[in-house]
Amino acid sequence: MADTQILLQLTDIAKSYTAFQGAPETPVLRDVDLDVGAGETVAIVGPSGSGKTTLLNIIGTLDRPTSGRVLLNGRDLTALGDAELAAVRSREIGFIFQFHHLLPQCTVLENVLLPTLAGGPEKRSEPAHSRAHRLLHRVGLSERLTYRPGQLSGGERQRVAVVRALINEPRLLLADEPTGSLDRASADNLADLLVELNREEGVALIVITHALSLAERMERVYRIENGMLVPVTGHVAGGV
Amino acid sequence: MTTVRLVLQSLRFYWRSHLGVFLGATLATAILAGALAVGDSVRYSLREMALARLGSVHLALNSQSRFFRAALAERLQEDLRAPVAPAILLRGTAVGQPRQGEGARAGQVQVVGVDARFWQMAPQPHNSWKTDPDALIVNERLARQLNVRAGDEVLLRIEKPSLLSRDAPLATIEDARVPLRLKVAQVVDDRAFGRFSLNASQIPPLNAFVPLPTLQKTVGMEERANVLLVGAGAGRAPDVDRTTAALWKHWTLADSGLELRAVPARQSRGERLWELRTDRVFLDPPVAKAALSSVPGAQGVLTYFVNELRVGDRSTPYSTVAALQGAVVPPDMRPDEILINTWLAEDIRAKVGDTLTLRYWMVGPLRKLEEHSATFRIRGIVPIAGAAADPTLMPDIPGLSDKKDCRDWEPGVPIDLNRIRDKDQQYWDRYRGTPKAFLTLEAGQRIWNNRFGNLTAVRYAAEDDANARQKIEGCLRQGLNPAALGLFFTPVRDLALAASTQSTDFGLLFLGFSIFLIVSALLLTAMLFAFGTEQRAEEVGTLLALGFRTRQVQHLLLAEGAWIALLAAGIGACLAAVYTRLVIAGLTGVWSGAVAGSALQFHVEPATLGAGAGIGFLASLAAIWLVTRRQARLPARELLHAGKESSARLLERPASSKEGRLPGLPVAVTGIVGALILVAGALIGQQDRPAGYFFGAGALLLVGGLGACRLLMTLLARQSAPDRLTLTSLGVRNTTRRVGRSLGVIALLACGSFLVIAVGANRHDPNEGAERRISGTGGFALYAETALPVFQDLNSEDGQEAFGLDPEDMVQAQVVALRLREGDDASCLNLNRAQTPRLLGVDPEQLRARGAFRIARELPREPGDTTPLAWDRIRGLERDGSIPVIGDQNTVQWSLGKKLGDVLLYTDERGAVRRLKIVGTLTSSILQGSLILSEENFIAMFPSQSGYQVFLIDAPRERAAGLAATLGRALQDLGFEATPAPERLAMFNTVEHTYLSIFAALGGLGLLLGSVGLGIVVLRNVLERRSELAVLRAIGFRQEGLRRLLFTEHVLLLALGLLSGVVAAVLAVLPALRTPGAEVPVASLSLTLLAVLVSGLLWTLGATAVALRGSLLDALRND
Repeated sequence: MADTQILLQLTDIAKSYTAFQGAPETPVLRDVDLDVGAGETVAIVGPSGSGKTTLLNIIGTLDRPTSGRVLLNGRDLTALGDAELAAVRSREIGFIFQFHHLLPQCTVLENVLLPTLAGGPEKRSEPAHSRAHRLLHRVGLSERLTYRPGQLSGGERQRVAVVRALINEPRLLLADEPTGSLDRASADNLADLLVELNREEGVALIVITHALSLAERMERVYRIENGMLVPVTGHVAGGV
Repeated sequence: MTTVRLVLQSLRFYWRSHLGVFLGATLATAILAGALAVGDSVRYSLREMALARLGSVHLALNSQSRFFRAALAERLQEDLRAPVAPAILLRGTAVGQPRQGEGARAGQVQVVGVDARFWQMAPQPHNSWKTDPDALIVNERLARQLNVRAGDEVLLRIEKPSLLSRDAPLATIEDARVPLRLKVAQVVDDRAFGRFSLNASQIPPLNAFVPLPTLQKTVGMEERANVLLVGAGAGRAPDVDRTTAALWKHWTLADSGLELRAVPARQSRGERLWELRTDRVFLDPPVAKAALSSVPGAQGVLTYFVNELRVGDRSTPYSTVAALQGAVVPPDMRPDEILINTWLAEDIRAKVGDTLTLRYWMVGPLRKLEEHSATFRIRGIVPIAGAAADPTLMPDIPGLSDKKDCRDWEPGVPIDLNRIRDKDQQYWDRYRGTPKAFLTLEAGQRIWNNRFGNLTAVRYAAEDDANARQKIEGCLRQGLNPAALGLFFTPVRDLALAASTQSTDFGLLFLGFSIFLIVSALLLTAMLFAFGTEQRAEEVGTLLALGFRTRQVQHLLLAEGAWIALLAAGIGACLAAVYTRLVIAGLTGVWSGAVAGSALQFHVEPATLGAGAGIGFLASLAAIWLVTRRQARLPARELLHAGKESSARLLERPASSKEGRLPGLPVAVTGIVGALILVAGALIGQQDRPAGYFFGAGALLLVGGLGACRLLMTLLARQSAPDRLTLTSLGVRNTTRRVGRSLGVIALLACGSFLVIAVGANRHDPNEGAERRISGTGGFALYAETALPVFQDLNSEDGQEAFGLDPEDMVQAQVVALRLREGDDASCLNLNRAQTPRLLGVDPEQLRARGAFRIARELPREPGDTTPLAWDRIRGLERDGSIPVIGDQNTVQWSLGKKLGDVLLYTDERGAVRRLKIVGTLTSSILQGSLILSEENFIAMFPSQSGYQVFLIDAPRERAAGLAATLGRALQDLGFEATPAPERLAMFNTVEHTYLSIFAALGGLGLLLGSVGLGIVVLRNVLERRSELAVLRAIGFRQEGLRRLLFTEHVLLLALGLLSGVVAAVLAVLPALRTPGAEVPVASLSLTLLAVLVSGLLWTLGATAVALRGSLLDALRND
């Protein structure tokens, strides 16, 4: 970490919910601190309802913390308005969901290029169109460019979703149970792919998962316990 | 990838869910554009009718009672190089005498004397003119009414034009009409000029076309005409100024009934006396003025027929007396002095200094003859020689100057022939009309002044040379103006086209009628679009998560909606024609009352469809925009897990449902209490017009009812579980899940049913208070019109006797007679914008004394003066010289497009443009269609117009029908037609009632369409709750039970909506329901509501069935 430039910094993040007006607050996250360097890979594990997705949503600017700060590239995201957050999501963060959430009306290529309509980096290293072709080729979908999501297998859809997440050259890739809806073989393939792309594209990766095989392949693994982020050291098996 | 591509892809992919949106938007556009196109059809039909009634006629001169040489047409035609046709236009009545079947009678017949030139101006020129002098051509409407066809005989009774107004002193009324029996040679349709008329109306007139020479001969106007029709020459429309100039160029004195002649008895060496005289007895004031001022040395003459010249107990009957300037009358003669001739002096043994009394008739209102007298001191006695022996001083008085024997005299005033002695006959034989006495002109004009003129001749002394006539004529021509002689052209074609284009805009009218239908379709569009986008919540969430801003996502959805709206606008515009056709079919069928039975043709202008499509597009887009602006508002994380989060949100208790607060209660209480106060106010206050109070109470109750529904839902939501939970109670509770959506459905149904019932049932009963003076009938029992004028006073025994009426027939009956100037019918029965409305001249005292009619609004005579003057308001002139008129509110507002205080320009008989100022408006009355002015002002505008044609008759209600029949028989030759006043009012109300029916019908359809919305709400509610329903299935509920559950909760919405609307509407229209004879369309309204109920039930059932289709347990798995 010391050698790596810090991309994401979470400081004292807390999040609590109120079931209804007047009801006592239910804390979900508390005292969460996390630094993620550029190109680093992190897995966050924990039982259902522990607050994994909440944390990912806070990192991905889809939710705001009750307290604490989220710095991305040194910029405090908690101080930004909705429009600026949308721009941050568009330029700097890529999302991969448990369910691919591809637009059924668009082809594979169109789905991949969809984020470019929302914006994208001010300066691209390569044109979006050729990047889409390259990445789709990279994930083995060059023959499927004009296919619709309905014509793809689950694994293929998720690979499209991965490429879609990378199209705007983000520095941070967030994946929420990316293999949760896949069979074992597809899940393994996707895990390989994510790691390889992390290496090839230099993008930091934060994965929330139940899948041990995927978590084990990340450089660091954290576990959420009682709303707190606890690093998992050594062999994660059984601890996850 | 581009935004457009993304939008197009989405459109293609979601075409099924967009189909409903497209259909809704298409329907809205089709109705909107179709409604606007109804205006095109009406305008087109009116234009076609206008062109059918005028053919190729562009300008018309209609001098009414002033006849000119028919040969003027030829001169004009040569000069203008445009077709010009002379014609005679007269009023008449007709009796059909068919060879088969019963004949019938027709009043208000337009008798038109025409020749071949007229038929050449027909829409389809033809040569229908028959050389047979007995050949009559009738139009289809008259043929139908008389039940005649070619070969049958028709007896016409035609108004005989009188050069001298029948109202004028000395005018006879004995020959006011002449019969003419002719054989029908042909029945002509609209294309063959059957619709010919100079007045704008979509109702064809009853036309009888008579060969011009035959009509000229029949009415004693050989070689003369009173109408000139000018067509377009060589493709060029004739110009009024140029045509008027040409007319003046060819005009001669004879064209205005004037004659310049040398006075035979007054010729001396080197000098000759010329005289300008008229066959109308009195020189028209403008002519007299010009004749006196244009030629140097002109002297006026006024000769009058007197009943008696008396000195003491000695008298001479029936003589002429002349008032002169110069000649016999010395310059120093005083106005109270008189010269008599030796014959008279001898007859009554009068001497200089004696007082001589003249007795003579003057004509008052209703042609009431009043014998006046004047006394003079005899200044001198002159011999019957020289200037005092001039029989030409007497004008040509019909029935007098043309009689050889005094005992044959019929001067138009009652004379006692027994008073005529032999010596009188001998004087007549020897001196003819030579005046027996002479006054100063000033004195004569003082006592015999009348509206027809105060000179019978103007005399000029001129050198006796061949050019004298030309010189005098030249001077006269300089001083005269053709319009002042009633000779002016009117651009009838331009006026007709203006009348049709400025007519009531049926496009906007039907847009209003269809508004509920359009709103329902748009609501449906919005609901379906919302439904579709809600199904795509995850997609929206994905876009947000990918960095799209909320507005960007909304724009993407709006762009999709815009494409749908655009396509729908295009298709809707094409389908608009279907809606237009349906409406036109309605207007020529069941709704024909709205257009007074006019035959309307379907016609659509592309521009209108374009505009309709544009508005439809914008309206649909607005509806979609209202939906999209609510989209993408939820956080992406919620949208990405739409199902779960939505459920979670429902678990939250809404802030508004805090314990102790009862939302809806203030609205419910305010509405209901307000309604009760208004009802109490109406009942206790004995208001004149309770309808307004009740309508207000109904509207408040509707608001209160909606508040009560809101309250009910709150209470249901808070209700603790009953001991025994049933599916029904669960269903009822479920209505409170989406309170906003549930209330929306209730409000839509409630407002719709309220409007449909309140408008549909809110009809006036013309019989309500019809006997009251302030009602629309003015308290009169009958309204009558005659085709030919009535000169007698029907209230007098003499007048009744003239028509063979027994005074017993007229017991308790009183007649208010009104003068009528024919013009455009300015009632709601005429779809055209009236350009020159009918005018009615009335003695205001007759209506003021009765307190007849209700003058709703009145313009103060003086600023700040708020004292209502009612009928006195039309007396005299306004400060600015304009003529005050009162009109029915509908006439003023809709037919004329004017308002109180506006001025209408109207050309009077002498071509002067008069300003008619609207100083008052009547509430819906039987006088609709005309403007009412004082008789005094009427006569000033139309001095030649004689007699009365409109009658308001007071009689006990029970005698009205019998009196109408009696008067109808007695005055049948005049084309008398009486209508019970409430019936006439009802006729005008028919238009309004039909409009209400149309609104009710289209509103009902809209409501029906709105009930489809209920189905959509059901579908949305159920699909949103599929997982919940799956749970119910999983724990053992049967499909049937779930169906009952869903049905119960949605039927409750349907019932609450209809109940709130119906109860409020019934209160609103309670006065109409309680009125005896009220025409509440109970059956059609009940059917409408039943249809809405059934439709709502069916959609609910259908939506429930669709939503519960398939395996619900899958929904659990998907969750």
